[in-house]
Amino acid sequence: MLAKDFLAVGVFIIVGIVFVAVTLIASYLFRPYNPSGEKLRTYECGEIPLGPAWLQFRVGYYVYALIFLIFDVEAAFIFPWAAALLGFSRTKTLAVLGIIDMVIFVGVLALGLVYAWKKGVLEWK
Amino acid sequence: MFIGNIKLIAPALYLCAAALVVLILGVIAARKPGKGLDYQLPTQYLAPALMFPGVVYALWAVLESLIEVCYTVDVLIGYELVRVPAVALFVTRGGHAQLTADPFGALFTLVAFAGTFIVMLVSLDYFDAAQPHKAEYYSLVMFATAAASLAACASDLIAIYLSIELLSLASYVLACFVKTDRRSGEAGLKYFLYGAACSAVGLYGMSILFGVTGGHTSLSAIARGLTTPAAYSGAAWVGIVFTLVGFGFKLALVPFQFWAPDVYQGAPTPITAFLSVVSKAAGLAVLVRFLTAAVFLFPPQNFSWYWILVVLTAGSMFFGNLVAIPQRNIKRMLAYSSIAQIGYLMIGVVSAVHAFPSLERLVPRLWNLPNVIVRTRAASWYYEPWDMVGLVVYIVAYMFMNLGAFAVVAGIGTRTRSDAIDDYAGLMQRSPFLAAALTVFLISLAGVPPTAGFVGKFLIFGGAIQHAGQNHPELAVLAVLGIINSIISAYYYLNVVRLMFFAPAEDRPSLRASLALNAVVAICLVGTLGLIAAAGPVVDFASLVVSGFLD
Repeated sequence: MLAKDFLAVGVFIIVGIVFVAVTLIASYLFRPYNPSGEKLRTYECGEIPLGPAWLQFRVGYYVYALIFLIFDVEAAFIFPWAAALLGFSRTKTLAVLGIIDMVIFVGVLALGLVYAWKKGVLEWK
Repeated sequence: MFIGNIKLIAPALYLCAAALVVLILGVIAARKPGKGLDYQLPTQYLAPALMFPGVVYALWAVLESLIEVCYTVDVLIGYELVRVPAVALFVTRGGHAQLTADPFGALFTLVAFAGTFIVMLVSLDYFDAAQPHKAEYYSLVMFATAAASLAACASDLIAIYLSIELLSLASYVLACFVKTDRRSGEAGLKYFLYGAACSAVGLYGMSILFGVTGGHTSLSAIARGLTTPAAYSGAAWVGIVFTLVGFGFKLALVPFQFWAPDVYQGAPTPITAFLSVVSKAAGLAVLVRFLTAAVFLFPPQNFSWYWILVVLTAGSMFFGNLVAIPQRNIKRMLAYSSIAQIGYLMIGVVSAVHAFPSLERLVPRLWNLPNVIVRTRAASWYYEPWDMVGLVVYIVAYMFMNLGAFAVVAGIGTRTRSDAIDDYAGLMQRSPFLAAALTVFLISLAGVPPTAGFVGKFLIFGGAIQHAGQNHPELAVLAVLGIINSIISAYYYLNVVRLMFFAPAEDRPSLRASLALNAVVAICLVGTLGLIAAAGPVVDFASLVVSGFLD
């Protein structure tokens, strides 16, 4: 039982390694090679890089990142929930329960957003 | 899945909702300090006002679970009809409950709730009205308490880990709550780093147990998995010991106590009180459930994890008491004292393991359950062993006396701006009430009659001796070591009393206690002194609670 479960993991690992290796080798074989100063420069979203990267970033970025993360995770939870709800829909109690659960979950996260909003972290001053 | 009687964990759910209300209203109020909502509904009063119904609710839940625990229900899970105890919640296939809201869990919930209510009143005195981030402070305390309550009922490794982790995460933030104080920051960081490491070890241990018992997270399924020959490997032993590391950290059991002195000293005093009582009560409940529900049979030949616990129990008592003696800071002294106190409580845990001694008890007798492992306690039809009764009574006594001591320390600390023991000299002249109250709490911690600490210690040591018999001399040895340690501890507790009453005050001004502080100290005094007067009913009630203990 255990070995069969890990077989899937093993297949994923092998496919992952092979995929990366094949892509890199193929692009190495086929691409033209004309380096220039512009091309070799560190890529920074189209901006010209200024100064070292090891500097203190404004703390507001982290709060934004945290809020983004919360809703990212929420999405990650909602997809499997939606898929499972289809199976639950055969029993009425389970379906209602599933919806109530998700309403509570999203409600708590929404309260988190209200907290962040009232705390003033969404304003960029 | 069968959800069960959700009313039994409703106090925790209520507290989560109340914490959200406090958080949102508090943040709105904090936008205009001293005006509007902050003036009409100050967060520091809103939180205890919402906490108090929670305490009453938790008390109701204890009584309700005492009734519910006598019943079973038949439920259809999948295509299988399973008979489960009526206090089992979130029962999955095979009849395994994720939470068991038995009277034992409900009583620890009550201890956590009452302790938090007291901590909130101490905070009211400790912080002034202009305390920054009030909303976050009070809501984190409430979330942590809800987590402690769920931990007390958790009977599944995932439920245990999640509730303990929620409790820990809130505690890390609370420990470093005074951002302007370097020591508080140090306390938070140390607590977090050590806590994360021990939590990782504990989680690794749980994952090993999950593996060797055939992929089960429920404690009752693990108990069954550990009785199969496949589990008699080194791996299962390593899993148990690693899991105990995770729990030992929460309890500050030697050798996982290294964080306690720095964190207790650096954290704001109300939070120190919270960590020493509520957080430890949760850890203790989880440990008892884990030992008696999952691993009490493993391995029947050599019981080696048990001997580790025996050694750690003795080690905690001696380490805590001996290192407390030279301390100059009262919070640090109480930190070491609480390491010793957990040693006394661990005597109760170690002897409670013997109440579930043999495989026959695995046979579902009382309930005639086909699928669930329900143990009947040894010989409970003619007498109730004192081990767990002592544990339950001592944790209640410990709550009153330790919170009382920290309340006085917090009150004096805010007024004199010092936690040095030398500054307690002549406290009798400066504040007779606080000095007298602290004396009562300290002699109760030392276990001198007629205080609550004496009742608890009497029952715990008595329970150990009851179980010692001929086969378990180590329990009698532990009881004797406990008595020796009580004598050692009297030295440093009474040293503070000596300073307060017999040292000159060097004409410093008298201290004025606030209403909240007086109220807290009075509540704890009534608990500490009243327990012995009500000892008979309390012990009967504790026996009732313990006889309903399920895995």
